[in-house]
Amino acid sequence: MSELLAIETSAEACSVALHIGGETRERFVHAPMRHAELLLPAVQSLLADAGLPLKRLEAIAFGRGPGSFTSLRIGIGVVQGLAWGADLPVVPVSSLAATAQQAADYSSAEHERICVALDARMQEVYFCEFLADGEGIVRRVSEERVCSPAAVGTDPDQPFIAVGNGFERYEELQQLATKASASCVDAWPRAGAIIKLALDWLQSHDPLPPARAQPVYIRNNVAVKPTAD
Amino acid sequence: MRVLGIETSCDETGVALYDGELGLMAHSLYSQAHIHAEYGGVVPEIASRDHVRKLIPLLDECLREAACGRSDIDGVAYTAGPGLVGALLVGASAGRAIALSLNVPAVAVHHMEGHLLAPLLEPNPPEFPFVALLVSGGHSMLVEVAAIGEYRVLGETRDDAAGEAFDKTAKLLGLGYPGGPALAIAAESGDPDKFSFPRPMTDRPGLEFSFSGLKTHTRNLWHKHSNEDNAQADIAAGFQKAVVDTLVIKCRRAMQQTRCGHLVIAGGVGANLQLREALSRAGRKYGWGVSYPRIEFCTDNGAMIAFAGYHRLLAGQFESEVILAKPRWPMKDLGTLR
Ligand SMILES: Nc1ncnc2c1ncn2[C@@H]1O[C@H](COP(=O)(O)OP(=O)(O)OP(=O)(O)O)[C@@H](O)[C@H]1O
Ligand SMILES: [Mg+2]
Repeated sequence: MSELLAIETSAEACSVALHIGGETRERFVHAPMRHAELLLPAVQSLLADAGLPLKRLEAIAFGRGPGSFTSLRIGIGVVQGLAWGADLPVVPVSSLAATAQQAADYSSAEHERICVALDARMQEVYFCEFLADGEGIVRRVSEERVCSPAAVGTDPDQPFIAVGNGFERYEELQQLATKASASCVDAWPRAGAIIKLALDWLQSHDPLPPARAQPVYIRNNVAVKPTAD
Repeated sequence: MRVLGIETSCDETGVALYDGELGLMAHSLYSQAHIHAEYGGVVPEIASRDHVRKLIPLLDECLREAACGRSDIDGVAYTAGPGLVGALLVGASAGRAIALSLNVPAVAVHHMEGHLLAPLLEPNPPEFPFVALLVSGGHSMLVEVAAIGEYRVLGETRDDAAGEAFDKTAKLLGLGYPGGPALAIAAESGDPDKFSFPRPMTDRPGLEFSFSGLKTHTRNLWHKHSNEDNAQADIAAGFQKAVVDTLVIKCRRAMQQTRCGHLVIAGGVGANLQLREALSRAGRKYGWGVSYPRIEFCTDNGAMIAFAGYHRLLAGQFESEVILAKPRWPMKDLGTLR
């Protein structure tokens, strides 16, 4: 029986989950800017309540982004530290997939695209489309990208579910959401969903060494080089 | 007690192991300076991203070098500030989590306390009390050190830090980034007396610094003379001498005022050879002992953080599971060891 810890801090929520004895326990708070304060006490209490020492885990799974750079790195810094200290491997999971998984868990609609749009600030969203497979696990059917709300380019005439705060915060996406068969604008990536996706990933992959606990930012144009004058 | 130190406050990722009996066992450092050079200064987001990539490989390297295992670590010290918040958070998150996973205490270290104590890592460390001249990229101050944790700031800069003045002047002269070492090299072939430079804040009493007037003076000189032969080297040499002279005058005043017998130089500008020589000369002339860290421990490194953290942990200080990052953290708010 594989025991996993999961950490997800890529957005405004801070969550931690423990998979033990076939069930998942999760701590979740919506607490923007408070990850540094809340994350480790949550890890500590979750492990203590389960009476499970860190070393007994099989791996640590984490939301690898995309998302808010700073909170994402707090989570990944913690994953690196825990994994390095306890000599555990890690499992990266897309935070957009974890958000989509939320919707898949609550809606039974199969064959329906799950469109995830999370606010990326600067008038952009992180966007990706998923389909749930026969086991209810979401599979990516488009590239993860960061783009303006007008440029998500999804086909509004094929049935879809609108997921994430991007559909609430930008007018173009609010309009798109009116055509969705269902919408779930307050879904956040959660550690419980990270566990589910990590267990699936581990069926066909080996977990990775701690140094591979790395963020995926998608937005990579963060500075401009000065041109010679 | 064996302490793992982690430094990520700016553009250097540093990791070290300090042992109370064996001393410094190993240290590993990665400098991002060449990456930021293309931007003409530190880009905070790029710095944070690079720390996340480099930290684990450096931790592995450091343990290998020290030939010790994780279970031999008795405490973790990480830089909690001052510095770039995103960069600080990388080392703070990982450092605090390592302590949790090893079930050992963690302590949040003040970056400037690290710099200040770096000379104590050398053989024949200075005895307390001493006066420290702290001259780095973000700070310039004179501090009276009665004991570890007991600091009295005697004077600070009113505007630019000494290292910042070196960096800005080097940029002005087209010498690139980081400017301090580049300017020092350029100055070697210059005549420091070709142009005259002010010695700021030396004509009135007090231990405060100000380097912005010197910067303006240098800019005016450069605009007037930039197409003259050797102007770049001459101005670099004159600027460097002005900074060094000013620092020497202030140090002498601080030594007289405190009646301390020992001066310690720390921080990146402490790597400047002219400054080291000038202060050694002053020490011989006026009878003070003078100590410096080795050149590589003048700029940011993990060793100084492991060392400062060791003393705080030894005194029983430690923090809860909260990850501390304080981009602004005045030295006067730093707690004593008791
Ligand atoms: N040989 C040198 N001569 C003059 N200045 C130097 C020399 N070597 C390094 N410096 C300066 O030292 C500074 C870097 O020092 P350090 O790493 O201590 O500063 P920092 O960590 O950026 O700032 P702080 O420690 O105040 O937060 C830079 O401004 C650099 O130009
Ligand atoms: Mg420094």
